Amino acid sequence: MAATTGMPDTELVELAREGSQEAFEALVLRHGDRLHATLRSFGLTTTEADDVAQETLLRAWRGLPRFDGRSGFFTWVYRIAFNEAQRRLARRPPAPEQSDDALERVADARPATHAAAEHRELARALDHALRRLAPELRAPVLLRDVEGRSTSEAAAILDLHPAALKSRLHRGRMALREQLAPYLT
Amino acid sequence: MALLRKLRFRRDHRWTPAQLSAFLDDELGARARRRVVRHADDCPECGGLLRSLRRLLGALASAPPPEPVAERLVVRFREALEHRHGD
Repeated sequence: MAATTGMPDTELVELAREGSQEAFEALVLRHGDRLHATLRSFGLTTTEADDVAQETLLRAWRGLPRFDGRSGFFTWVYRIAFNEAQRRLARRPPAPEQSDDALERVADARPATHAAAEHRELARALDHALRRLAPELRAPVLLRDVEGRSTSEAAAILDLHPAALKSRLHRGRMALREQLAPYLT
Repeated sequence: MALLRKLRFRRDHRWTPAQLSAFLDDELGARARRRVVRHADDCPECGGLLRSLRRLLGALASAPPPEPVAERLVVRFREALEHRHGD
């Protein structure tokens, strides 16, 4: 991996498009943690996120020659990941609750402050509220507010116009706020 | 003047809640931004809504860093690639 260390993403993407598996793996090493975390945020268990990440990476690798560069490389990969995640979630048998560890990154936040207990209570309530949120509102909130993606990135990943993304984001936030009102005053 | 103020307050009270996400994301123009600030200062309901949305965004952003799984993903990717080549 030494040859790819410190190389900018754009160069790695170019090399990967030319067939360099080493460059592609360097990109995965650089961005794989966040990709996996995003899949978890969509409501997948760790095992499901592993499987979906693998399928996403295989599709991305095979699709690289067709990647036209109109969107950023990782926006493109995240879009594949989002579609794969949706497919996986649709195949799940109906259950009253989602996976027991889905979205727990939010509930597991452990701030080292004197208000830790109060914060944990809010994080737990937030976790439940996110699970109850309609998927079309949850994905924009997760991408923008949990994962920190920009509006244009999140819109590209979800294949939405930025205005539609903003509208869903606002509705999602307002719905969460309503559910969590006692914790947010 | 009092009537004008009252009318402006009502108009801004209807308008403000829908602008709060854009306000918090710094996506409003300067004039609209000033209008939100002015109304949120005057209106306990909208001011409270703004504060609670701010707190919500803070809680959403406080998720811990992602698990270090990238090396595992690379290993699985290699194995899957070899497996599919072997098919």
